[in-house]
Amino acid sequence: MTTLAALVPTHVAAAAPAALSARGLTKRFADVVAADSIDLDAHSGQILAVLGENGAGKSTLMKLLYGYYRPDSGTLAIHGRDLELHSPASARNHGIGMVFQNFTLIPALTVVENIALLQPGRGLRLDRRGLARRIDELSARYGLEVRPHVLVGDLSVGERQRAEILKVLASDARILILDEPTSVLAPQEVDNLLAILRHLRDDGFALLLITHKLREVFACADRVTVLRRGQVIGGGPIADFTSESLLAMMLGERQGATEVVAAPPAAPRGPGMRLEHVTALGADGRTALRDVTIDVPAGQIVGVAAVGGNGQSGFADVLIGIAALQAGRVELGGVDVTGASPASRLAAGLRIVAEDPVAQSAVGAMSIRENFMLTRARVDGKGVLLNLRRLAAAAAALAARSPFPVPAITRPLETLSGGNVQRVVLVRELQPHGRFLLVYYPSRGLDVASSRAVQQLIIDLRDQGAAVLLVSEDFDELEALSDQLLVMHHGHVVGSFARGSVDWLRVGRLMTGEADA
Amino acid sequence: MYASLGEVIAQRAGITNLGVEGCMLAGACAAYIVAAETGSPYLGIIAAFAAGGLFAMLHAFLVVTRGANQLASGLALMFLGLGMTAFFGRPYVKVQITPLRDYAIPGLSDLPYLGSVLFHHDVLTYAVFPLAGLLWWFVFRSRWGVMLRAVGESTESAFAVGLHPARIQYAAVTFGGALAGLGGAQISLAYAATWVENLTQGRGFIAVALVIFAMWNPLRAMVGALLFGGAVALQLQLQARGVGVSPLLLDMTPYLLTIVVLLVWAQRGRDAFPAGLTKVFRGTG
Amino acid sequence: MTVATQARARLRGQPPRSGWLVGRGAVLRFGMAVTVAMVAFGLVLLSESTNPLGTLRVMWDASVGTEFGRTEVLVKVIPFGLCALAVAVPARVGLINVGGEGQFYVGAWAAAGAVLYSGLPGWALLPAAFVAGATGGGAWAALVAVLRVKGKVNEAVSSLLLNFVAIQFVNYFVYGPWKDPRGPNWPFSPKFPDAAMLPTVYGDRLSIAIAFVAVGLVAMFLVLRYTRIGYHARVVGGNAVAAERSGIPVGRYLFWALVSGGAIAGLAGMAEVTGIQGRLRPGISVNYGYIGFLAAWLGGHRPLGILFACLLFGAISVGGDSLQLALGLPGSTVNILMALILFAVLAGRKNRTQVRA
Repeated sequence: MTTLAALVPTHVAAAAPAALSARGLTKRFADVVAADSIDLDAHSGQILAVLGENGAGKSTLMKLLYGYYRPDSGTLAIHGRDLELHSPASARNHGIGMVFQNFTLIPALTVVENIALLQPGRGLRLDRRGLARRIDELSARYGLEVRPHVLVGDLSVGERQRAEILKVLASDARILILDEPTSVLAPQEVDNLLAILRHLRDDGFALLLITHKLREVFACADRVTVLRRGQVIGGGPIADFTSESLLAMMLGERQGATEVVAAPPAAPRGPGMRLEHVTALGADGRTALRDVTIDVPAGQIVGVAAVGGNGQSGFADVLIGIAALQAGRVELGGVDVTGASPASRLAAGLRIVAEDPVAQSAVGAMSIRENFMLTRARVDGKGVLLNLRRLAAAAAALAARSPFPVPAITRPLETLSGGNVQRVVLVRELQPHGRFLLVYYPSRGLDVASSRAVQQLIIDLRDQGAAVLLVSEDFDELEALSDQLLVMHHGHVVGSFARGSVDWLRVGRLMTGEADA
Repeated sequence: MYASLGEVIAQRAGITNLGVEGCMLAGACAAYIVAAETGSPYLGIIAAFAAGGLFAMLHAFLVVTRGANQLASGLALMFLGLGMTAFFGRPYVKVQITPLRDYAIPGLSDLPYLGSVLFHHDVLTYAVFPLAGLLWWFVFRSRWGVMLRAVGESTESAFAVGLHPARIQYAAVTFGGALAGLGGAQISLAYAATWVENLTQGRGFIAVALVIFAMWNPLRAMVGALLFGGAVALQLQLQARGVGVSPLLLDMTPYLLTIVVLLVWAQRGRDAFPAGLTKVFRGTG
Repeated sequence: MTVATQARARLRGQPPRSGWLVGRGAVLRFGMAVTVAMVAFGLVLLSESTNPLGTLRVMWDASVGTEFGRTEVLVKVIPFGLCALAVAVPARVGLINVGGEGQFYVGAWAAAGAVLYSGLPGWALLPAAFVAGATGGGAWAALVAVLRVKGKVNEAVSSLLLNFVAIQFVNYFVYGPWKDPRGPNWPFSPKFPDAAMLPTVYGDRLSIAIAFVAVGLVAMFLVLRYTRIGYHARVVGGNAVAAERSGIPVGRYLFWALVSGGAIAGLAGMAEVTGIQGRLRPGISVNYGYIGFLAAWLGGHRPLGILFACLLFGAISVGGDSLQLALGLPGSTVNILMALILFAVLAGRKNRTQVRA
């Protein structure tokens, strides 16, 4: 494996110090190392692409570079001078500007007002006209068209992004960090943006482009750095790489079945979960699923591979019945449940291991035992009183049967780490009475032994006749467990592979929108 | 009127101060005491400004620095105002002061009917109109106003662009309280020209209602205050002409109207509040 | 779904803890806060050259030190405790009810109406007043609940605003249609017949309504702990998204929690007119709704905490009345002490940041 440091001198004249360089940047969150001694150099007049999967630590790295987080260790230097960033304000003073993934423009203010926020200067006066003129100049120069006096909330997404870039430019930043700038844009807007970025580079800006899209990297980057699991895996001049070699670095080498339990093939056993031409809005009000038809037969595991934010979050609300369907229908076990209440679907045997267990399926202020009761309290009778003894016994039994250790069941959930909350939710939801399972990221935050136990549990449930829809970012897991693998992009199902015939390069291309279905 | 203007500023920074009542009382009482001791109502005005600001600063400390519940802190502030002013104001209950003089605007005040209503007031009353305009300019047109609104909408975003949300919130809440203090002074120095316990009688809460009614716009708050004041005047007129509208029912209308306004806004799907009104943000480390 | 999205944004992460007892650490911190507040109060008194120790002595004697005082404290606990419950019940599902004051007034009004104008025989008056009080307060809160669940209007704001409407509403009746025709020209309703007065359980003033408080606190504990409804309510308050995903009808819980809260505040109003006042008049509540809000909050929305907070506020309040007689200080001087205690607790508590207005 090549390290970045080894590659630096080969491309750039050693005399010119990087506009922005990082050495050994490390940041931990609770039990996760989000950035692990990262080295990185961005030069003026160049575009450096930082490439990595979701969760590889890209956004954390960018926030470190922008002073939003403070590193646990490591140093930053601008044009060869060491500096310490205390806050975004100090980053700005050093000419670093950031275009955030979810914009930091304030919707209730106009474009000019938003840009004024970043203007250095004192005093009460707001020079609207001067600013508007400045904005016009900049937007004419770089083709960043916006309407300066319109409320940001009323702008289109593309326009908002241009405003965000303008905002950074207007604050005289010379080092621009762009966090997945194209993820929200339509294809033609992407081309437009990339052209703008090239123009900025030619004007001497140093640009850091964070992305997981190979096409963009090859379209505009001069150099590339690849991150995986918080570490720099490799990098160098773009000419040294092909899309295959970059993908391989991004996704990691396929390590066979050593870390995951492979499921033996199994035959379908009748109707399971079925979505038919479903179009639905996600929790954020954007369309999550677009005309999705998925059939998960009983006794089968259907895996879903997708880059975060491509519609896979929508399954939970659609299956449980919280999201209003704009079109389509939902079947459980051959029965149309499109208009049925969440309670009745749960009673039918639907179980969900949520994407974000802490936020979506657990109550922090309650004990593990009470959280175990959450699904059982409805199942165990309808009377006024809770049969506390029976529920407690059931909870104790759950904990005892758990394939991995669960903390003392009287502990409040909010005192647990994310991994332990995940365990609690897994134990609760992956029980024999579940007939229709939607499982998000089953092994996230778990150690190898627990991961294997969960995977075995899912296989066992499948073999007992459950229909399993599995959303995961772990390709080994997906490959080992799935009887069928689907790929999603932009809310559409764009690819389908049967067990044993998964072409990972093609999956990668489909996920990132590189290839068409 | 001052109180609602002040609350507009505080809420624009994302902080509700239910203790406006307390700030008003503090202002009213401080103004009265200083006016009585020095003989100058104008020094009283300054004292009111300071007292209201100090009270609000306490609220800002609890809410911004200590992350306390805004409603609880605000209500506690109201009780503090009630208690402190009752205690310190007691010796002054029977003391006379020189009230703020009413100034007639030459010429205009002699106009029939409206003249004496519109153009015969004390300085504080006159000053509130330009102040509302000034604050409108400040909130919507000045650089600081943009910063203020940014903090009120999203402290996170404001922090990300390099502002210091906590400082701005402190300033806004304190200034808001100081204005509420002036509102109190207007009552004790001019309108009532006397001091009794609980002089303000819930006007602070009307101010809070007005702020919502006015959709956080100083000019509209002004208009709202005049409308509600006008309702009182109207009912006096109506009574004089023998039209039997219960004044008490009329008194309800400000609150009911405010609820209707809220409902309409909620239905339009737009968040009526400055988005960050309720979250107290602490900068990430 | 509307409720879910709102709940998502608002309710997450601010659940009142479950349980009956406050933690030991909390007791210690609370003790320190009270001490700090007492010292600060003493300094305030000193600044006007009033003897702080003497003052506290008077307050102590008047409230906790004598049997009469202790009874009076309990008399205060009735409205404080019920109004605090009116806040605590909705708080358990994550709602903020600042409308106790208004619900109190409407409950009192409805109870008075039932007593004076229902034409029922004497034995039926009290039950009727009870039902009317609860219904009145509940209906008033239902306005807030409908606005919240169907109309997406913030319940804290609307309940606060409706307080003032309720006060004017009661004023309208006592100044108008319900004014005692035989009395002096005061805005009082006619006096209630004796049959409509709650029986006293101790002394002349402590009515049976103290049992409402006791029953309410115990019931709150039992319901939350042992019933399916209580458990679901806690889930809704703890994490509305999780609740909805678990098939709990979140909107219904929000609605009924607010209505129950209103009904309890309405009972406080009923207890006031049938237990103490014996007639409807303006200003029957001396900020009881707000004190209840603060007591509930101080008590962490837990039954035992609420009880302690109400006893504390009751003692302060009774002590305050005595200051007037003994030292010639204004009665509301004790509001300073109450506010200082709250400030000390607010400043000392490890607050969660997520709070909305």
